[in-house]
Amino acid sequence: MKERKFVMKMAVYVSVLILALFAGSCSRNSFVKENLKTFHEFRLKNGIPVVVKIARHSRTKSLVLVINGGKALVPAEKAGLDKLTQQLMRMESKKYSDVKRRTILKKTSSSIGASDGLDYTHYNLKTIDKYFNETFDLYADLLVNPSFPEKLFRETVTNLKNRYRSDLTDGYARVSLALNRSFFSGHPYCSYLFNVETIDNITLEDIKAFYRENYVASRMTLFAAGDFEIHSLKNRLDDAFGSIPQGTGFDAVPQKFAGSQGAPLILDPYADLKKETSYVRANFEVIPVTHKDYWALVLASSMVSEIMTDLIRTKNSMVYSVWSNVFGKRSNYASISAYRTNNPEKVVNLIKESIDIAAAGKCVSPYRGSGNNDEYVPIAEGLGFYKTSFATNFYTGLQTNASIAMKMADSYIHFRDYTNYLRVMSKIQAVSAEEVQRAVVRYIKNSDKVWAITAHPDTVEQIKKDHKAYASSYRVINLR
Amino acid sequence: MRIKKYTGLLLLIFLSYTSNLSALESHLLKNGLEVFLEENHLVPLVNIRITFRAGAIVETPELNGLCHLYEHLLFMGNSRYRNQGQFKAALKRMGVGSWNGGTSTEFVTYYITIPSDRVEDGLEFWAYAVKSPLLSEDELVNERKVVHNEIAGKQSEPDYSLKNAVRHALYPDYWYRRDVGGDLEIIDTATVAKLKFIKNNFYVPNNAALFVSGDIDPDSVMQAVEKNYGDWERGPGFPELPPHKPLEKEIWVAVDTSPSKGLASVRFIFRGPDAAADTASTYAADLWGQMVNDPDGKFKNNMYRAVPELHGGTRHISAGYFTQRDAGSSSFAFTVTVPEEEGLWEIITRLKKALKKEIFLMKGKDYFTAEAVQSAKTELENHDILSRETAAGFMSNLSFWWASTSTQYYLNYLETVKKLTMDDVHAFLEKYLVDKPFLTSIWINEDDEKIQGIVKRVKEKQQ
Repeated sequence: MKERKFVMKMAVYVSVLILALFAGSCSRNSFVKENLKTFHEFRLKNGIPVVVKIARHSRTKSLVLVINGGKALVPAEKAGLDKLTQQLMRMESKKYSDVKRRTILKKTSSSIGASDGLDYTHYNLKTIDKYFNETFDLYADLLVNPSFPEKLFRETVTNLKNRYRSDLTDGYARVSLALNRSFFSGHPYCSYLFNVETIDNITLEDIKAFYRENYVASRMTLFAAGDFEIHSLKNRLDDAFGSIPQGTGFDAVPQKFAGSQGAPLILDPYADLKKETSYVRANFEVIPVTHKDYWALVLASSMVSEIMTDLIRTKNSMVYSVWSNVFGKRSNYASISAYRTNNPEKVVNLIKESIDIAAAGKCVSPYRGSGNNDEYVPIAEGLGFYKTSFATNFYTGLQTNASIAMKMADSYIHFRDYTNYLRVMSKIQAVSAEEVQRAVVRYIKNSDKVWAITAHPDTVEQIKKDHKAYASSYRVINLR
Repeated sequence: MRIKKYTGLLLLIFLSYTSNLSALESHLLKNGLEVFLEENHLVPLVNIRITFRAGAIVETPELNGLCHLYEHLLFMGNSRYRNQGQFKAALKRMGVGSWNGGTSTEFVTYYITIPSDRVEDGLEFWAYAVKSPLLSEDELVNERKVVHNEIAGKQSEPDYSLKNAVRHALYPDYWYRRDVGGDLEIIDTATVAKLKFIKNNFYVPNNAALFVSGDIDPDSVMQAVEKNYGDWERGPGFPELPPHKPLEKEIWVAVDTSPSKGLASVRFIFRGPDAAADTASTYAADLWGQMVNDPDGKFKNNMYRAVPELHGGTRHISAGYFTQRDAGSSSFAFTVTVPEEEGLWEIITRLKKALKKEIFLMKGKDYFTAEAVQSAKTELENHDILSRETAAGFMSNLSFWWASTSTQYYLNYLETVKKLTMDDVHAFLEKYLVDKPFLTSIWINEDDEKIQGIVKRVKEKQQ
């Protein structure tokens, strides 16, 4: 009787799901169509491509300037060079002193930010409509005429060194650093890992040269989202950026990661941690975002996350949080992290067990408490719900002009198509349960993982004795 | 209109700019539950948030940290979803994207984001969670370990000892009302009875507010709210709290756990105003906070002139007021370059003297110009524009203000700020800053401390 009830309920769920997917598919098509009408593209006189999305839902206006290249442009021994350059560039220009810049940004409640990513740097403006003219002029002058004063350079260097020292006191930052130093070894992304020594290697002349060589028209693309008048925006952009020198184009080329290199476990003893609090993380290489299996992998990763949470947190109370993440980089990789655990060794084993459950074609049952209390069900029975959750997160990320401009930029970098993000939901909906299971096996279970554990030295000693249960060898590192 | 049946208070504010009609409605159920609705059809999503006036503020020493533990327990099962597994499965069936809870000094909040066609399910879901949590012994024993890990991790962070010392110094009688994480021993020995006490006293409708925003139809949402929350029984609600005493003398705190070498963080913290006791002063304090942070204003320039050892000139000087129901504070923060030889104590002494002088000067007629006042008011309006960019973000903001002040406080905020004059700012200065005792906190690197001996001097001074 119970079973029949459950089958009835399942039938209702599945019917609702099919209807929802059908309705979703119709509305998604109109969502894409409506959005496509709002894009405008043009080039500046020096060839910089510009894409504008007219969005009238808010009073903010956002610009995102992408500078191609990322960490591949930075020598490993001068890691931090791109970060220092973008930080110093947006502090002071010929026309705007640092104080004047800060005054304008405060009075207009606007922000000018930048980020040195693995594949590209982006330089952003977020402002309120009524202040666009004033803040754009500041944004443009900082980019085109930065003054790179010696005094600000020294201060920025001090701050960056202290940021590194601060990271060394944070358990999660430490485990990421310990892991990435090994995983990125020999890869251009290694230049992401600055430290006091690499920062000390950088001179103000290095920064000026880096700016001259890399902040050039042939490496730039500009994305704008907000309520813009296209003609006047184009004139304004041409006046401001049309004279940026051409320079030489550059695109980061995907490269293989070194993998575990015989030491799949990195141990980082840190005496200031309490004995009951450790951090665990693994990295592994995965397929690029353009690969046909990519969206299956994204769904697979979210299913593995939920199994890990169920097994490690819900059932064993061993961790505050545990998750899996696919980063979507040009040289693509993924990670698994356990944040604050009292038993790092068991957590590593439970992570492996979680992956095995997904590899066997199972996911956490979304039906628990609704007539059937099976803990795990075939992926096919849960997949629709995972897709809906993905859609919820997807639409959540489309609510601000700043996030829309970033999505356009990211789509352009990876697909050479700034509208690609609009089609993500169609790609997600097309993924089958078999494809998800295959992605778990091929790209997560069978991957060459490098693990790292940051823990109290006493815990590390214990792990050294026990490591053979879950890692063939280990290496202890001394983070400084 | 059926809606009138539910509504003690109905307020509509239409914002004319956006093409997706943005409107805030406020309702009051008979059991005291406040309900806020914000309609915004940009994306097919709804955010449901429920907030309680709870957190550290309602705790006693014996309960310190248990509002946070209770926050976790709410996810562990209720009369409908019997355990954590069922609870999370229900979230998945609704297509939840992000979901979480958070405990702060003056509020506990929970939220989910769901597809808009599941809004009634979402409302029912939270109703079961808040009205009938199981609070089982087994789940409690398990979750105590998780929360222990979380708080032990926080206590390993280098700024924990500084925050803890400041808390005890500023609020000596009721420091635990500022300590969200609480005591590991109390967490490890928490009982179901203690959690039930929290539920019955603070997790009641007359101490809660529900925020529903996004792609909604307000009428149908209110029907679902009445259906699911109308029978929620009232309880004692927010307790009468003895106020924190004002500081009677100047106090010092120094800790040498800073990871920053060559730089020391120095903060001067004044008590007040408390939103519950002196609402009027909080508006003036906000306006003052905007003006005093002018990068090219008198305050920052004068301070840098008096203390050229400030790191980054005026760049790392900040000041402001933090609105809290019963523990508001106004503070000044500086980053000082630590000299290679001994000498930091002299710099801090000079900094302190310069600050006192500057606070005195702020009472003068010309210290803040009329232009500065107007600019500060415009900035506060701008913050409101930015906070409304997403419906969920706006509700998160509103939720904070609801907990630490009141609904009317937030809704009348900009109008009240517009009417402020310099006399209001001067009254705030006289009442809370001028010649008032304050706390000096110094956070220094261990290696720098070996040369400067600041911690030792502070200990001697305090004795």
